[in-house]
Amino acid sequence: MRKLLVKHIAIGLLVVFGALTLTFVLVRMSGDPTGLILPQDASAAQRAQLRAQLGIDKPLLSQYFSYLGGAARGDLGKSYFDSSSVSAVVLRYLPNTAILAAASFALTVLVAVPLGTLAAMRRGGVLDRVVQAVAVVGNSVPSFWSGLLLLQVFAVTLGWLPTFGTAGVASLVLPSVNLMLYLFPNMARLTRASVLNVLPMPYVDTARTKGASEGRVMTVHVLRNALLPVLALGGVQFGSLLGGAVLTETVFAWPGVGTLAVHSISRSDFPVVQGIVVYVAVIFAVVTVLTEVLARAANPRLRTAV
Amino acid sequence: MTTTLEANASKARPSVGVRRFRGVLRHRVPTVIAVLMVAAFAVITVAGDKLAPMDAGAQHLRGRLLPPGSRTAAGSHLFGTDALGRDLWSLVLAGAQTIVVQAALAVVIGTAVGALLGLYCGYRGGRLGDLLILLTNLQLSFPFFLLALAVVGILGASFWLVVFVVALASWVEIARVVHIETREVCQLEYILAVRVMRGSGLRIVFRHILPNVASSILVLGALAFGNAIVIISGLGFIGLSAPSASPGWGEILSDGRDYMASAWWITITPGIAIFLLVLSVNIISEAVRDRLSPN
Repeated sequence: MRKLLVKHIAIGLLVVFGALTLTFVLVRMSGDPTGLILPQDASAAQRAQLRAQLGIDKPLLSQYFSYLGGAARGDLGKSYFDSSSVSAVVLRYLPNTAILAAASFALTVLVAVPLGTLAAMRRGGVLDRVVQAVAVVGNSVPSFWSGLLLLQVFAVTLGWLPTFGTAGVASLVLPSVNLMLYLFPNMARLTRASVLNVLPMPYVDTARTKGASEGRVMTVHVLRNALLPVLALGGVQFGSLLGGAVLTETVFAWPGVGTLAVHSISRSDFPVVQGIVVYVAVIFAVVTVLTEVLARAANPRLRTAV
Repeated sequence: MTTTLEANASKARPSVGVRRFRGVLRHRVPTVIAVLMVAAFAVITVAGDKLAPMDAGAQHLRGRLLPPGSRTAAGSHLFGTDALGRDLWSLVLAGAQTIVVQAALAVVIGTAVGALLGLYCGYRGGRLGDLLILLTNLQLSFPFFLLALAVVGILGASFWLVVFVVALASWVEIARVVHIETREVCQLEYILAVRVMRGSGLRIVFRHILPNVASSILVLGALAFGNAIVIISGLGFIGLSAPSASPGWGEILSDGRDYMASAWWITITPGIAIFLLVLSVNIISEAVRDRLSPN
């Protein structure tokens, strides 16, 4: 089991290294940035000076190693347009992404797990069929369109909630609900399938014969085991939420890293895009490892196995 | 109508063929509708610009932001017009081509690469198989849309770059599943028998293993196509789409955002197009899977 943990850490490190390398190659492939930063009539001398300042007059390999070295010290370079460092810019937007991720993830768990469980308990019943149908439909709605529909109905037509921004809890509602719609299908389906797997287990019957109430059987005996795979899925979902729910953030103009990425691309501020990719790789790796640790805490069998 | 009903009633039972057809219809109505929808989208992809009632690019500044059902000199606007006075129905029909062709190319490439890698690495096993697992794990350890955004955003959107990026989204799941299934099939005795008979590796992979994993490739390929449509229109929504004659569905949606208070219909029509296509493909994928694995 410790082996698995080491494996996750190694993969995480590889992904971060891959993110650094890939973005370096992409940015170098995108051409000479002096045309983006300086006005059109800048002289050749000015351009050369800027190139020296950015360090892109050196050989590619030495640029690459100094970039890696900087990244190891937490220095990801500077934004082309903002005098602040890339890390400072990304860290300014990251808390908003974290808030939205936490809210929408909590909402998803609160809705999908009970509904998935009930669907499994009454297999083939009305609720089961409704949950399954909602899951198929939900998987087919692009998140940016469902976001627009939510805005249209609840913000524009009914005027109950703000259309965009971060004006308190109210503006958190629509983006969270939208992300919940996006995450719900997979989580509800996995919960349902997992509960269906656990229900016929002998220990469930044992608990019932010993006179445990149905509520106790479901929570203590069934769900405790059935939720282990859901926990793993939750880790992946939460990690990708922290990676910036780009489209949902864009629709609701939520000032998180996703919006920052789109904005930085539109004005060709590539060091910031590079920084976001690297930060997200690190965050995703950390969340994966933490999920693994949580899984070990929740499932004693994992601790002894292997 | 009544005569046919009476004719049916007079017979003791309809023929086996009719009963089977009714049975299929009763249980598979969504699937039949989904297949018809996909066929309709295929027609629109091939001939959307010819089917369009009006020239999709024609701007009528006096007919801007007209609600659905409006009539102008150009004709009847069933789904309304956009901020430039273009007919939305014609725009959506004309916009189908680029996105569907890109998605189809990407899925064909991604599926072929994923399936071949899965088959080959699964058959050979050993280090090669471990390498494939590592590669898929690496890619799944990063949110894909952000990766697509970074690649297309930094290099600039072009037709083939979008195809390449979406193919990159498609290969992973197929390679993983085909790899696992190939390894299972390789354990079966008849593969050993062919090996004993000195069947060539290529023949074993394509004649004896591929038919066993073909259904998974089909199911996952269909899912990948739906996913590809969502990714491409998502990229278009944030302004990263290849230059084309007619705006894509994602771009029309994005343009419509500025007019939500005055012209809600702009964000409805292209969204429904994306939704219906993806839903149909997902339903077909689901039906194929149910058919092939009863549990």
